[in-house]
Amino acid sequence: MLRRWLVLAFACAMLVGACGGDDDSGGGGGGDSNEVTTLKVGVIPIADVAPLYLGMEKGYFKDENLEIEPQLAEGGAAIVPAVVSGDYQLGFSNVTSLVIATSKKLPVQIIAQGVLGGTGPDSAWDGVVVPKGSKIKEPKDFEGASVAVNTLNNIGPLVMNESMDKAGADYTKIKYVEVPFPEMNAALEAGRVDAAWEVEPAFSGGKAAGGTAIMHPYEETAPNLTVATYFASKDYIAKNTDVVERFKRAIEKSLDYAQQNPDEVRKVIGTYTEIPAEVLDKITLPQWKADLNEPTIQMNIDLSKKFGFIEEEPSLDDMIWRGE
Amino acid sequence: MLPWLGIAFMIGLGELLTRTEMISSRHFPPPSEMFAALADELTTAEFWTAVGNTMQGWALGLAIACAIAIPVGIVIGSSSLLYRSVRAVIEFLRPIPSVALIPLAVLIWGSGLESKVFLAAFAATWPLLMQTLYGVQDVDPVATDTARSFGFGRGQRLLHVTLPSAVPYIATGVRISAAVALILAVTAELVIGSPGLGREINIARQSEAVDIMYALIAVTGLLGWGVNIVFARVERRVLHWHPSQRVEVAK
Repeated sequence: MLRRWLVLAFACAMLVGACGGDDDSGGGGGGDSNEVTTLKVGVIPIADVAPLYLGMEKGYFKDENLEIEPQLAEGGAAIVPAVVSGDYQLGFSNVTSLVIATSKKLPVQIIAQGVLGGTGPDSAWDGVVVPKGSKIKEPKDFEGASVAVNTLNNIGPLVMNESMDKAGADYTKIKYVEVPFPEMNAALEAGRVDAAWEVEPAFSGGKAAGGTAIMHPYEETAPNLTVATYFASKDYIAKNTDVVERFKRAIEKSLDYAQQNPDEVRKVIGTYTEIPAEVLDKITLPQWKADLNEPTIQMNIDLSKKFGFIEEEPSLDDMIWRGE
Repeated sequence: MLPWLGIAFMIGLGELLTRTEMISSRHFPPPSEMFAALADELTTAEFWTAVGNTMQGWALGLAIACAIAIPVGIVIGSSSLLYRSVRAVIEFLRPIPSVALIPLAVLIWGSGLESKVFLAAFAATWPLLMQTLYGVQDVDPVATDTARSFGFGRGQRLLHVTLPSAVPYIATGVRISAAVALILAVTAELVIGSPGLGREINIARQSEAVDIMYALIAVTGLLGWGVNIVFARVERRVLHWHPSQRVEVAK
């Protein structure tokens, strides 16, 4: 009997898979705005990309004859190559990754704002968390400490270094350890690292476990820091300028809507992540707005150079697509 | 009875270690919570779609591996000249971990089903190819000579002597490869983000929903277990005439 059920379950599963499997509608799409263009957008399943999902729900992309197919990638590192190779039409990536990519002459350009740091430490959605009972009380105490960041030589160490520098502490004495965000709190509790630079939802989890946030590197580097943006390959932009413009309009509308409707944001995050509802109610949401805040992108370029992540500074004009 | 005891012991141990916080239950949930999360998952359409996607990648990967490894194995195994000339190539390719070929797969096929199928097929091909080779080479020389002296041609010898002798090896190879293909299908979903259980595991991980994450991990284990059972049964039924199976039945 059990065997028959198993066989049936397998058969059903195969059938469902076969039906749901045809996502091969690679939207290269021409310039005619009357036909629907399908866009594969490489994103990470985190709160930052909520406006994209909210915009889909609200029909902002449909209004522009766009159909969005979010492609959930394991991390930002997988998105850039997929966009360059044309597998995805657009992607979501932090600014430092894009600075490094542009500096290495990868043909990618920022097309729209993605997510910003808070207006100040009070609305911070990132922080350097130390466990309960830690001796680290102020930035200076991080000298000689091991700090977990999700990626070495990227935006985490960039903002951490700059915040240390601003506080008059020696950032060169920090020992950075690469730990994925979801495992940071476990690493903290097990004492494998002295501190961890976390973003939501790990940040809330770390504080709930008794940790304390000593610094808020995004906000201390600059208020309203542009953290991540949507981008495309130069080739795609050149051949589909109209599509990119339509996407830019729709996502900017979505960003503003998301900023004004936090309750809807929390609800939509629950649809594409597995963050439990009770955690979702408590996390600090990031900041969204249409403005790219270009001076902070320039700052990101300068800091990437300052901390040795890049050798050649790309220009803002090279990094950002500003329309025809 | 005994297998159930083993399973009960493992679950009990997990429960004990997490309830006593010897392993932090915030980061590794007690099995009871895992099962509760699993029960919730079973009612969602997303879960079954993910299972379907995984099984689809697995089935295609395994089918391609069979279509390549069995004929190639028979051809190479039947000719010692051919075998000696390609052996170095096979021994070079065989130990390459499929996972290391992910960048190549993404470059050529992108992040969808094709990459997953390629990785599963690549990994599953080698054990099956080796089993087929051994099977074909392990034919009783007396039987081959006898067939030859009775005037059997090359094709007839293959059909009536070599294949029946090699089939048990091939069947074992298919069973091993089925497990390997499943592992690679899930790995591809985890790393590349192709739709399927692996991707769902990753989403749960990013959301720090450890109960769902481990529930899904348990599901991949159950799938592998199910696949193995099905293939072992099929193997026994198809090969009921073979001495190796008769011994097993006699037990």
